[in-house]
Amino acid sequence: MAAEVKITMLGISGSGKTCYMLGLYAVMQLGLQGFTLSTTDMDEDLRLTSLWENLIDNEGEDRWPAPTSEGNTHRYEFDFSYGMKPLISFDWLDYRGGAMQDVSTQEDTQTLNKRLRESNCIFLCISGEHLEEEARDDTELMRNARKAGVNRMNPYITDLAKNLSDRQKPFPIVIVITKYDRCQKRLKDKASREKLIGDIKKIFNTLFMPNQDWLIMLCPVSLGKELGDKDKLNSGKIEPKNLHLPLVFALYAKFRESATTEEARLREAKGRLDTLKSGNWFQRLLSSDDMQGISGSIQSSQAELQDIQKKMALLAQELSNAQIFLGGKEIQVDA
Amino acid sequence: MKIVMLGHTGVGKTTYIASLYGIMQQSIEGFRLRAVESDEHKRWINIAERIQQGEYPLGTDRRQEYNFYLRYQGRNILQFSWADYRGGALRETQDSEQAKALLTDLKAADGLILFCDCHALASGDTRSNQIGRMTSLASQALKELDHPLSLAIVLTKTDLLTSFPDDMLKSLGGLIAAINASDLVLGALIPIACSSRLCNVPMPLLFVLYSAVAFEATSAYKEAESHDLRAQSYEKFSQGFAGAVDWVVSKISQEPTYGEMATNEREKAIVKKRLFAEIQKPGLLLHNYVQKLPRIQSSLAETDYIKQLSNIKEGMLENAIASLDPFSIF
Repeated sequence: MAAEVKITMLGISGSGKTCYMLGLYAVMQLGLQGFTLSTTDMDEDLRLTSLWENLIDNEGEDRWPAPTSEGNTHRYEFDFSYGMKPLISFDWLDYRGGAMQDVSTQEDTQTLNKRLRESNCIFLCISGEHLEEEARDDTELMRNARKAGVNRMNPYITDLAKNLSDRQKPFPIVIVITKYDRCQKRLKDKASREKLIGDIKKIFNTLFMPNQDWLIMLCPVSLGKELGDKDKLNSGKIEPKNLHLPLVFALYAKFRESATTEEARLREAKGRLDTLKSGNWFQRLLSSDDMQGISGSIQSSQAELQDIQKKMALLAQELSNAQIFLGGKEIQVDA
Repeated sequence: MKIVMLGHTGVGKTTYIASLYGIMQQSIEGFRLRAVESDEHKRWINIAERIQQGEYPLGTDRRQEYNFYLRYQGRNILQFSWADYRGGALRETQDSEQAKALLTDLKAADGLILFCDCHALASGDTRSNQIGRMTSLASQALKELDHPLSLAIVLTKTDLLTSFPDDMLKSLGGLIAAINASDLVLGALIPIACSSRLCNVPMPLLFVLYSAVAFEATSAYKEAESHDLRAQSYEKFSQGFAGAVDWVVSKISQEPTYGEMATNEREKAIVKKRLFAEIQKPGLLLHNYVQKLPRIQSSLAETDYIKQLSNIKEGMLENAIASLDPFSIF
């Protein structure tokens, strides 16, 4: 069965895309709050598991997976389950980060643009190492943003915006701050954390405009507090934090879109039924078969909608304290 | 659904709600708590975080009503309001607006939580706990009761005691007897601590909500049954020659036919069955949970309660507030 959700991660080389994916899989494979993740191909499970074990069991530079090289773009397919019952399947593209930094060939750009247009959610990966120190002014902040590869992401976002259909709006994007452990100096109190959030919003200001195009989640992730200490990078304890949240958000957004589609279908069917019911008794007699058919489809749409809402509710409870923005305003997600 | 909370000034009522709210952002036996208003959600989270850092909230200076959802697997299964009074309202005459509101609230309550400072109880200080006054108010409210109600006697600050003296519950004897005498009241004694170490904090809330959920499940089941019966009876009328005559007459007079009325009743039954199915599992979970608590029963003596309280004092459920802000993970 084809995956129902496509997720693409954008980020320059070294931004932590592959490590994030490995950590996410390791955490979710064991299950979190009843949710589990498994690859559809069990050989992939073995490969990802051994890469992760290498990361937690070994010390030194070799613990880290090799960067995704040219020609090694990898597509993974996963099943996401709750209480062992599959909720949704999704595929994930591990893209060569270097492709964003190189002078892109026409083909490179086209392939990535095509994938982004097909995606249901995009993760924009920026490394916490570029946010480690508080910028003195906006010029310095933008310089750091450039180092984090934000300028390379913008053309892809612009292309995506141009090609968004009404059905896809608001389009979900997660700004994943990888290596958040590097930002520990800036996390003294609530005010400092809010300043950091403000900086990220400035960097990605186009995604926080007052329109309904983007549903944005800001999510810091880390593989462990100790890794923030440069001397312990290759030996620090691996204790993943927040890795599941971007995925939960992406799947929640997909269900949200499906619910909107189902609601529209339901409204349309109800409208047709009301029109038929408003006829006189003779007209109603003639259209009784149609009315029965529409009633049946309303019932199945209602059942479908309830099922989607149930799944949304399960996911939404994980997102109750997440930083989520629609049209630049912070919102609470709910079923 | 309304919960009313009583207790003297400084007993820790507001601290309790905030700690409970913080803890129940994680699943407790599958249940979570959520403020109806998102601003309130943020406020409670803030207070809960400050309590963890040793900064306790100021007491309530007037009646407050907070609205929450009890959630199970992400769905709101019960909305309830929670009335919080300033401790002083207990001692006010009925001329005071606060006291009037308190009496009205008590009569309408579906759940009562009475707070007693355990430390004061253990040292024989019944006066500061206002137990006499709380007993009178609760008894007054229970007199006119016509639906099931849970009443939790919450013993706060148990972390300040190493053990419970045998005669600690003496002053609560009258209230325990009143609970035992009622067929509609389910009572429990629950020791809690809301300091840097949190013990048993979700218990009082889940206990008081139990009766309401059970009552709602029973009502939904009964209503579904009665809609089903009506549907069967209409269906009978819609059959045969009489049914055909009814169909023609009803179509001409634009009235619903017996067949349509049967469908309508069946749809209503489905809605009620769905509601029942949604709350059946959480209701059963709450039922099992409540069985673990030291419930007030006529067969038990004071010493039995002391034994039960001692068993769970150290935290049948010891909870910690996990970091709630994803940006504050270290």
